[in-house]
Amino acid sequence: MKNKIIELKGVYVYYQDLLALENVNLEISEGEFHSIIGPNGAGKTTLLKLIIGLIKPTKGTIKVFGKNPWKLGKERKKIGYVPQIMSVDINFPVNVMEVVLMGRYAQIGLFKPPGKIDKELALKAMEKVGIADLYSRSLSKLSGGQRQRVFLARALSNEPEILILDEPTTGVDTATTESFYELLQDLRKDGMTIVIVSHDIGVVAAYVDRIACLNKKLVAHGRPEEVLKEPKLEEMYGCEAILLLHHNIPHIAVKEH
Amino acid sequence: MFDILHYSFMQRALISGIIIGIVCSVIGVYIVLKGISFIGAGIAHASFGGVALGFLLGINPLFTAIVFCLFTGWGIGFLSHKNRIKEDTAVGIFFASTMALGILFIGLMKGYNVDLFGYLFGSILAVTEEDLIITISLGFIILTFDVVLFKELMFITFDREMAEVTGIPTTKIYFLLISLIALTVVLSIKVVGIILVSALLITPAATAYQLTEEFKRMMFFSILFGVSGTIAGLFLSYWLNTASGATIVVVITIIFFISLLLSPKRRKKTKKISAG
Repeated sequence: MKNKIIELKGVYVYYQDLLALENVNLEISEGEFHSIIGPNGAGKTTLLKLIIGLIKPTKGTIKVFGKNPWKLGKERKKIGYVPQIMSVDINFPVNVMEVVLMGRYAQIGLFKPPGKIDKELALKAMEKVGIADLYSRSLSKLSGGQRQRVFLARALSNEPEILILDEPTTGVDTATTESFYELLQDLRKDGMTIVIVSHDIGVVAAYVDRIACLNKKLVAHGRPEEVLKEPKLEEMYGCEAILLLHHNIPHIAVKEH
Repeated sequence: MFDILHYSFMQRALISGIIIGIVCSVIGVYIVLKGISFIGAGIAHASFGGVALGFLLGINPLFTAIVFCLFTGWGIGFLSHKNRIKEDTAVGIFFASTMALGILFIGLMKGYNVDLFGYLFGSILAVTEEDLIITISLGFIILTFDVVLFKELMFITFDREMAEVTGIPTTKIYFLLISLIALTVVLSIKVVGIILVSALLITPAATAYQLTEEFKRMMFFSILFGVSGTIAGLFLSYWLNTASGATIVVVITIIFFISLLLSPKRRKKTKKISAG
C-alpha cells in the first residue's frame, strides 16, 4: 500500500454563510495522477486552496505530508502549484526566466537576490517542460500553451513532490492541451503526485488514475471508466453525459438541454 | 542661463526634485502594475488632514502627515485585506474623512493660514533645509526597502496568490508596500502638492510601461522620465513664472502622451491574439 500523501476527513468549508465544501473525504496516494472535476461553483478551487494551505477547513481535518498544510513551513516547497491561466496579468513586464525564478524566491529568503543554484534549478525546470529556448522572451509574447508551460516550470523549480494544477488548459486548443497532458504523464512517471482540476473531462479521463467528481460533496470517486458511468454525473451537470469508449480512450459527450 | 542655481532655494528645490523624481518613479512602477493608483490618490488626500494638524499643533506638517498617511494606508490595507470590503470602497471612505478632519483642524486654527495653499498645490521653491533633510532621509529609507525586498515586491505585484503559496510573507510585504507609498506621498507633497501628487506617482511609470516589456528597464525608464520631467518642469516654471508643481505635472503628462504615440507595442492587439 502506498503512502497517503493527501488526506481529507469530513472537511467542510464555509465562506461566511455560504457552503463551499460539504463533508469531503478524500485520500490521494504518493505517485497518483488524480483529477477533480465538477461544474462551476462546485468548490474545486476551494479544495485546491485547502491542499496548498491558502485556506483552513471550517470543520474536519486535512493533512498533507501528515501535517496541516498551513503549518508546512519549509516543506511548502514540496508542493508545486500552477494557477489558473487567467489569474495573472499577461502584459506584466517580465521574461520567462524571471517568472520561473519566482518559484525559488521563498527558498532564497528575504534580502537576497537569486544565486547560481537558483538559476540552474530554473533552467532545469524549463528544459523539463521544453521552454529553455524561450528564457529571455517576455511573457506577453508567448502563446497560451507556452505560458502554461512557464507556470509549470515555475512550479517545478523547487523540485516538488506534489504538483497541483488549477484548470491549466482553459482557453488552450486541443492539440496543445493533449501535449500538456503528455508532459504531465512524463512527470508522473518520474514519481510525481499530480492533482489537477479540469473542465476537460474527456481529456483527463484518458490520462488520470482516479477522478473525483465534486459538487460541494464528493459525488463520485474512482477510476475514470467507473466514475463516468455514474448516473449521478448527469444529476451533477444537469445534462446528459455520455461516456464513449474510443480507441480504448474514454471520451465524454455532453448534450445540452 | 543656469545662474539661478546660485540661489540656495533653487539648489534645495533641485535636490529635492531629483530625489522625489526617483522615489515616485520607483514606487509608481508597483502602483501602476498592481493597479492601485486609487490607493496612492487616497493616501495623498489623507495627508491634507495630517498637514492641517501639523499647522494646528505648530510642528512641521510633514511629521504629522507621515503619521496620517501611514495610518490611512494601513487602514485601507486592513479593511480591504481578505476582501472584508472592496479596496476602492476603503479608499473612498478614508479619502473624504481625512480631508474632512483637515477642514475641521483648519477651523480650529485662529485666522487663515496661507501656507496650507503651498501644500495643496506644491511650493518646491519654499523647501526649507529641514524639509530637505526629511526628504533625503525618507527617500533613503524608501529606496533601501525597495532594493533589499525587490524580488518580493515584484512577486506580490505580479502574482500575490502564487507568492503566498510558495511561502512569501505576502501580507507583511503588502503592508510594507502601502507604507512605502504613504512615505512617498509625504515626500512629494511639498513639491507638487496634495492634489497633484498622484501624477508624479503614476505618470512616469505609465510612460515607461509603454516602452518596455522588462521590469528592471521599466523601472529605469520610469526614473529617467520622472527625474527629467521634474527638472524640466522646475526650470520652465521659473522662466515662465508659473506654478512649479503644476508645470512639472504638465511636462510629465506631455512626455506620457509622446510615449503613447511612439510606443512600439500595440498592447491591446497583442492581448487579443495571445488570449486566443
